Amino acid sequence: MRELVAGYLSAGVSRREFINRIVALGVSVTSARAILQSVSNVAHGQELSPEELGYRIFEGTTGEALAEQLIASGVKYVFGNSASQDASFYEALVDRPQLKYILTPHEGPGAAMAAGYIKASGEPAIVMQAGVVGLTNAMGQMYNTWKEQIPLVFYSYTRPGTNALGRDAFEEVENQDDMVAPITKYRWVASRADKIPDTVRRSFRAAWTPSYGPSYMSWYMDFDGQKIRTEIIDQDKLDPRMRVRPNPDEVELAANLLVNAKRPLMIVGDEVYRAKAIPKAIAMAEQLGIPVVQARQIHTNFPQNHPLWAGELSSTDRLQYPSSPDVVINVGDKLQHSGARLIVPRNTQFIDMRIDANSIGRILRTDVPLVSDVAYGLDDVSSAINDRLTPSLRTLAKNRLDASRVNHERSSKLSAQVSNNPYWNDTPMLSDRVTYEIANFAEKDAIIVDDAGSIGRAHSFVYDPINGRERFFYYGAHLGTGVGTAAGVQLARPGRQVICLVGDGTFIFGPTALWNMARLELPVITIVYNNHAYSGPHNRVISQYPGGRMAQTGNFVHDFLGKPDMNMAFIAKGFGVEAEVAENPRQLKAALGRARKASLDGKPYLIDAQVRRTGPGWADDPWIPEIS
Amino acid sequence: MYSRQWNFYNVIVAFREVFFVFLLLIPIVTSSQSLDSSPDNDAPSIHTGQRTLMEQCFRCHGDGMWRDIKTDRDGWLSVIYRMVGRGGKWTPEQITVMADYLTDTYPQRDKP
Repeated sequence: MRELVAGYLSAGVSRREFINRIVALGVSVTSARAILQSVSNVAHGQELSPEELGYRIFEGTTGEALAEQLIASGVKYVFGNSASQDASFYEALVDRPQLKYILTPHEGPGAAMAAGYIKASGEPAIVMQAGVVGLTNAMGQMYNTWKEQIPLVFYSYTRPGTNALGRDAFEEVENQDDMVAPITKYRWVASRADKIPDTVRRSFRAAWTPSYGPSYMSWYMDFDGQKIRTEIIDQDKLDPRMRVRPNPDEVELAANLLVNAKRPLMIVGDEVYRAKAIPKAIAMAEQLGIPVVQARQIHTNFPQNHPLWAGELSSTDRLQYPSSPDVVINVGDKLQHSGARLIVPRNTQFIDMRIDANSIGRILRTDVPLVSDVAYGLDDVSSAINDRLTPSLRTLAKNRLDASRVNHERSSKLSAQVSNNPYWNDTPMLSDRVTYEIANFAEKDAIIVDDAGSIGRAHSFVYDPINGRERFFYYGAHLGTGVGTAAGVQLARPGRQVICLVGDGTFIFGPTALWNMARLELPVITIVYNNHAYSGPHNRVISQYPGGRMAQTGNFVHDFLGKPDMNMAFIAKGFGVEAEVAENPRQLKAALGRARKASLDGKPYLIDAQVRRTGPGWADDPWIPEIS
Repeated sequence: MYSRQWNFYNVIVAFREVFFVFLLLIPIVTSSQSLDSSPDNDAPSIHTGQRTLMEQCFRCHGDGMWRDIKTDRDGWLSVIYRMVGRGGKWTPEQITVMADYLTDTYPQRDKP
């Protein structure tokens, strides 16, 4: 027998001969064929079990299959709002404690919480809503994840069942998945119940393949609870692992441009943070003494206490330092152009390093495109620069570093003048005073979730995402994001102090995640800058009609939120979060002390900080429009 | 055809930017003329303040953001220090001349 098997494996014995000789030994033809198959599997290395190969056949309800595939896709947290047509999934969760369901009382903050969790953990999550009625609530945050390139998977079922489509049924919108088309990377409605796990896998694959972004999946509500036989596959087996190295020829070009530049500049962006490549960005900047700036992003992608940090960027031709850069390298910044002015002018030589290939060359003239994972890209360009370093270049780099240090120290000194404001000690408080006090209060490695818009602006903070404080800012600007995001960040980073800065306008769009903080004991400290107004729209609208009727009369219909004044502390207490109002700096300091104590006890806390309105035309007692 | 459209677009953009700068300069020229006629005017200081504003503030926005603010010197200093917290890297001397100019040009008036 051993010789027979060896003969077959060495191709000296044919399949027919193998079976004939086995049958001759008294084995049935069927058994002989099974032996042949077994021998073939061994020969082709298929002796591994399906589980070892990362897949398996599953039989059960659609809810159980969904749960099993989510686990196989690496999901730990399911964020959701109650959906009556997902019953079999809830039933399945009872015996699958590894999949933790977080009930959120509104789909918007629920999606913000899921997105915050992903931003802070880098781990997958799903947010679920009830049909189209829940989906439409979640779509504001879906838009944010689209703009911010967050790989969040959204799910809601489709009403009605397959036997009643197109009859204007209760909560039916025909082709409901079309609604999300412009703000998702991928959308799909499963055509059969046993295709649900396949739909889940493809949704996660689309969301988590760079460039990241949200996906949406759905299936008809009558699939719920059906018994199916289907495959469950580990997500890892479907990941294209797009950790791409840049084109070597382009790397050489980039290195040549950088070493020959007179006034080089580096822009950093969120791809640096997500690739955990901040140390590599520092190393490359230090190689040539390149000052570093950042256009609006979610994360801080370079330590702001580093001497090469030169501040925030609107356009390179507006920079005071370094002025008129001749070569600019962008490392992973999405470069949001909000007007006609180019962030990098046409006459500047431009190197664009991003995994988001679709963004390269869309707006900016690009001399050297470097499509890559920025960690690899920084490695390769640094290596190419290193090959070109000469003693004179090293001296030049040191001189640039020294000049940048002088600029950095000067900038820090000038920024500190913010406390010279004549109204610094006034009641109600300057928003800058509130920020200043929070910066003095925050722990050295605090995480600041900044959704405070134009009123907050964390000028008193110095962020160092490697060894110090981190910031989670926003890029999409759909309001009602901050509180949910902070809850998700705290969920992902237990043990870190998380402080949420929100304006009263955005807070009131999405306070329900406070209830999640209380229930889950997420000890977020939330500060509401409450000036009872939409400050940003106030100032921007007036700037478009200087000297106009609004400014002449003081009649602004669109911005005043007082009469009656909203009390955010009362709102917080209604959700089970301890809270208080602070009207002056002394009260604020005392309130922060109580917030610290609460957070050390694992409890969230909210401070409604009363701040003064700024900008043209505000009366002490603002006018409100009459309706009769 | 594509090239012609592109060139035409460039002309439109260039014209719009020139026109925008022209609009920004109108109130400055106007206010400068009116101030020059004032007997209490400290002309050198005001001119420095104008120039500093144009150099520093107009990097990011036009004067529509603050032209309707009518306040006293502390009020203008508060506006300037607020902008210090939003990226304005100005020396105490620059802050002084800008506050001087703004206080004289856009003085306090009764609130509506």
